[in-house]
Amino acid sequence: MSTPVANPSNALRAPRPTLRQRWEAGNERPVWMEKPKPAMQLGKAILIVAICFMALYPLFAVLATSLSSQTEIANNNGLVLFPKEPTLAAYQTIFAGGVVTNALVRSLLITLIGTALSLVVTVAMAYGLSRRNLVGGRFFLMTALFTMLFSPGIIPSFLMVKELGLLNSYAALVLPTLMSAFNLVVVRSFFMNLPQELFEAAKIDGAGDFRILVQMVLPLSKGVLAVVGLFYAVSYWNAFFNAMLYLNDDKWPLSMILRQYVLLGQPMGDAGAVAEIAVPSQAIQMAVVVVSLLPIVIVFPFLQRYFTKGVLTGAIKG
Amino acid sequence: MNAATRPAGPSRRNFLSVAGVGALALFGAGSLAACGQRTVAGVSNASDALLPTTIPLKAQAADIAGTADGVPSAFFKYPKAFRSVEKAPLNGTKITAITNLFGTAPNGRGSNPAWQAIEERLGGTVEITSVSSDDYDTKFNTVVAGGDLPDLMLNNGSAVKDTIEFLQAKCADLTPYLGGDKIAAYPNLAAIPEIFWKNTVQAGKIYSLPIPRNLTGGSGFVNQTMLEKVGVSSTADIKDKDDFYRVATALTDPANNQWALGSTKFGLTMLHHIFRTPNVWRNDGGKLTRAFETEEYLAAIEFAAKLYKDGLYVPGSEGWTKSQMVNAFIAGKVAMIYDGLPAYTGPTGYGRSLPAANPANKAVPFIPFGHDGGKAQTWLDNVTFGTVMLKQNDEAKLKEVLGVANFLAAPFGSEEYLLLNYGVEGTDYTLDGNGNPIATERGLLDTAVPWKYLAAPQQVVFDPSNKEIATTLHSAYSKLIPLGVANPCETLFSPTDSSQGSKLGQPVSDAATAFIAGRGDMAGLKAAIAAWKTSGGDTIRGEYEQALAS
Amino acid sequence: MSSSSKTLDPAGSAGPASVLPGSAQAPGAPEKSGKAGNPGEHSKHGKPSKTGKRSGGARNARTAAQRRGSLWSRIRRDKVMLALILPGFAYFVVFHYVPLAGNIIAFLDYKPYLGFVDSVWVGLDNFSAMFKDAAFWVALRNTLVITGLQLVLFFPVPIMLALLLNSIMSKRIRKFVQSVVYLPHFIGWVIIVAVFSEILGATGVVPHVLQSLGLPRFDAMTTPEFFPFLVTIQSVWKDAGWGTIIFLAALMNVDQELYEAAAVDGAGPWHRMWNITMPGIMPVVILLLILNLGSILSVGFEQIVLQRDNVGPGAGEVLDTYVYFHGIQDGQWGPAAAVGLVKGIVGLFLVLGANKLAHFFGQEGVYSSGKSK
Repeated sequence: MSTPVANPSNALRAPRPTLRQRWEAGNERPVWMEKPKPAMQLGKAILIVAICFMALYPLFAVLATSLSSQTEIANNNGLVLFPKEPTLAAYQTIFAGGVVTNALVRSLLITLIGTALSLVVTVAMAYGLSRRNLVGGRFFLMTALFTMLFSPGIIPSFLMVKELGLLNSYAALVLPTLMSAFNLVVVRSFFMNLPQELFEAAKIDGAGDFRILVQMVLPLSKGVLAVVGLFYAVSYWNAFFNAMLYLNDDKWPLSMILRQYVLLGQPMGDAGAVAEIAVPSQAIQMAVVVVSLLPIVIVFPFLQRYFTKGVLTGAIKG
Repeated sequence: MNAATRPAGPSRRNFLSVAGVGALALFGAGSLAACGQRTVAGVSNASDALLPTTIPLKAQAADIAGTADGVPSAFFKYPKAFRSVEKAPLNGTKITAITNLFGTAPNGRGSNPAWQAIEERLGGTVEITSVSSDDYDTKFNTVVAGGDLPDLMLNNGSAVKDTIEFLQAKCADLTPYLGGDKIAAYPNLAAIPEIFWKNTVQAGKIYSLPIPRNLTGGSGFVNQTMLEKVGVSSTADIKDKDDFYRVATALTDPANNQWALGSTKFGLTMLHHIFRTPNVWRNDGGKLTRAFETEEYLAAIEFAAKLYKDGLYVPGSEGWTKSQMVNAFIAGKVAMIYDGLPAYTGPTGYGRSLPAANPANKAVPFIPFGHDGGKAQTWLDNVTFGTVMLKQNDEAKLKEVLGVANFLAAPFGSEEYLLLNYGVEGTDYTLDGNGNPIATERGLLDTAVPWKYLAAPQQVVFDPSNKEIATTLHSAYSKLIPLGVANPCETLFSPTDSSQGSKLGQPVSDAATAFIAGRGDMAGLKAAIAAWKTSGGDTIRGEYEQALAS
Repeated sequence: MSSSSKTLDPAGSAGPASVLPGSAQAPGAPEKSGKAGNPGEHSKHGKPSKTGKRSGGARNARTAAQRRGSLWSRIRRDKVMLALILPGFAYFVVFHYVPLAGNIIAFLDYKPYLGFVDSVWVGLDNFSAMFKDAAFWVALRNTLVITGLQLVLFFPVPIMLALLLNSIMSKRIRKFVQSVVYLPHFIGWVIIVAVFSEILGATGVVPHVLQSLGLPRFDAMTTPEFFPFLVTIQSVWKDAGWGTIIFLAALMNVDQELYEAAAVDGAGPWHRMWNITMPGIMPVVILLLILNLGSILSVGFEQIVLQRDNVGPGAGEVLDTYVYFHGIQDGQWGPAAAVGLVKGIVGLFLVLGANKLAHFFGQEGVYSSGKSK
């Protein structure tokens, strides 16, 4: 699994013409930047390979284990690296009957809609708060920050959701966690970082605050929107607690269904700890991990194109 | 507190806001299981006159009959089904329920023929709030705080803390409907033996319905093949603790990745049974002694520490998850573990999973021996799974709800049991040549609706796959139950224990763990026990003794 | 190019980072020019006039007088901004502040079926019981040790990793490595702990290697003294990659022109990193550091509770597990809320203090301190 990394780093270090052609498209070295020393490059390549190995080894083990039989897992003390007879049995178990498939669709919709709503509300408030001498700006900011430090507790939150008539509705998965003060502060800080002189100029040209937001600020903020959008999406995707609290099992998102599988392999007490149901095989637990990772692996490359250097600079220049 | 988890703002904040409560998430099962510190709801003077009369249903032809002291009957194949409920208990009405759910979420009502068939037989609908077993305490208390109580509510033993107050304030007194011969109106409930009803009586009234289990969780399991290799045919033949030490040493071979012992939390139950530690409390004529105050307890812990020190436990096994323990046992890495007896049967039970991994291996229940050559003493620590409370309602509604419970408590061998546990024939199961129901793929999801945690009959031993498994398990129950002692406070109530029991008991169990793992010593354990007494243990004892006397 | 040459001055690196247009709190052009004309100012820390200037800048000093009309006129001026804030503000009020009142249960012997009104008022009993409990102080100490260690050992890792990722020139490799290091974030603690015990545990790979090398066996999973390090290592593995996201976003906003200019001036790669990159992302670093301080009394509950028994409560009990074992398990809603409140108050003071400190060192922090009046 280290080959895809090793090759490119070799290419970087001593790019032969053919390889150079191959990699040139992706090489971003600016003209002013000097070629690093070979020793330095080698050290970096080794470091990167080592980091990738450390991150991938357990993941690889998780994937391999999900494809193994219980017998093989037991004989390997829990983690299999190379299953002798790979089997999709664990995946078949999870996906049998459509419960997981339905939950998958539900989770995708909740994540999409939730992330969109969260981004809108967060961007709006962050933009408002990025105005330096806004009336009550400090008050509004502190109001948001304070929520990072004190949590309301479960029962009062439940009562609120109940009073709003949101029990057993998908809105209960979105509205109570619509915004995170952390993300708000991050977006605000990025907005404040934008070159204000551009907006001042636009203002003189008669553009309103809202128009500046939509036409100037947002196009300059793709990177931070991608970051915060990812944060929101991941938290909606993984959230289970509100689903547990507010929804019945026929509306459970994927996180809750998958959790059911994993929980049963958890530690247990001693006396009288009588299993009501057998522990699902480790293969199933690992398959669950793989399933929950898939959307990230699929979606991430699309987000990544916004994670590129120089978005801002280019815009200022242009 | 790291930068990286921070970005996931909402979910993290959520987690914090539930801090420990989300924690229940993790350890709900643990708290359920933390029998040592838990007080099962109950009260003093459950006058026998008030307990429901046991009226057995027409005898079913069990392959191995049960006994009066609670050994379950065993079946090698599913008997010819009989109808136990004639009249639909509901009349187009709807009842609500909250209970816990293990394993997969079931198919929803709309796409679940078994659910539809059950409601057709019930004559109405049942709205079930199914809660992951690990989240049950949190969700139950939240729902209670929300004010709208369901008609049927599982009390899993840990969700309701101040039991009596809650029962009196919010739950229906069932004595007028179930006390004495009144229960005859609900024949399936009446068939549940008296021992299981003792847990349902609080403050002199019947407040709930039992969900019976097979009395004892057992003493653990042993890999029979490994045991025979060291010349022992049954753990019951081990003479005393020195002999056990010798056997354990013979079973341990680190070079071959093999150890005698290794379980989550050291699997101490097994040793406590060998040393005859009391089941939570010992009652000497009205004077109570907590299990960990006894010589037997200390001796068992000391022995465990010796076994640990001498390397007879799998290193690091005290931190295992349950999966790790199961894997180690199946793989033959550890010869003896502690897990509850119900983990023996079924497709993934030890009875089948050990031979599946290695045909030479075989698991059997651990039958304890006395540490001094005398008898062992087991615990009746699995009398009920929990109890089910009924919301206060008018008489007509309560009778309807009890009718539903009666339907759900249909015994093994009945049509209703088949429907509740296996679903609709043809869709959810097919009958094999011997008349045993074999679940189809969708059957598992259709029957995952947690009906059996709303009301249930007495359990039986049944594993159609292999006669030997049923026989072995039944034989284990026959040996273990007669050795069993009840927790004398099981049906008593102590406010202090209820509100602070686990907090007070935690340092003792921590000290015991430290002692065994070599981080602490006997003096530390004794100090923790002494601290328990002064910090509230004696208060708990006093409250129980008072309840015992009244 | 005055700003870039100033940044190359090593002494300047400790000073105001905001001279860079690319820095997160870039105060805008007018201020920048004002600063550049006053290069000595960065050494005079903590003057109230300075903080006022920092946040508002020269522009504000000038315009504030013009704009300081009646409150009403200011509201009218900001009406669009205020309207944009409104939905978010309403969210915080409805889903945070109203339910926050529920923390009153910290002063109650709360019973869910009795509700807030009928539960018994116990005043500060829940707090005094907590402070009197020796186990609480042990848990507090362990929490601080672990969070302190994470602050020192964990916090810099995502920054370094982000710098490393950022220095990869090939887009494809960078994307690949980026994707790879994010993945562990999505693996649950149960599995991570199991994987670690396969590797570091007593029967795992590392002790075996140690033994075969003739070294003493070291069981990293069950050694109490090592526990804070173990927890930190696990956190690094799981979340360091994920933590790079924000720093990478900050890095890509650092003005490329500055690098170019510095390179032209003959500054080497290390020099550029210390004098352009680091000051450029410093505001984000400070921001995250401050926000992290707010949760200094919280350590990953799930991670710790899974391993607490391996080392015993003496080393493995943290505040969150303390609340769980001493509060929640017994249904003690009141005491649990009390601990939550104490944690929040401590976090509040730390955040306020750290923010002040950040201003003192010329950083903006999370919010500006001096109002531009």
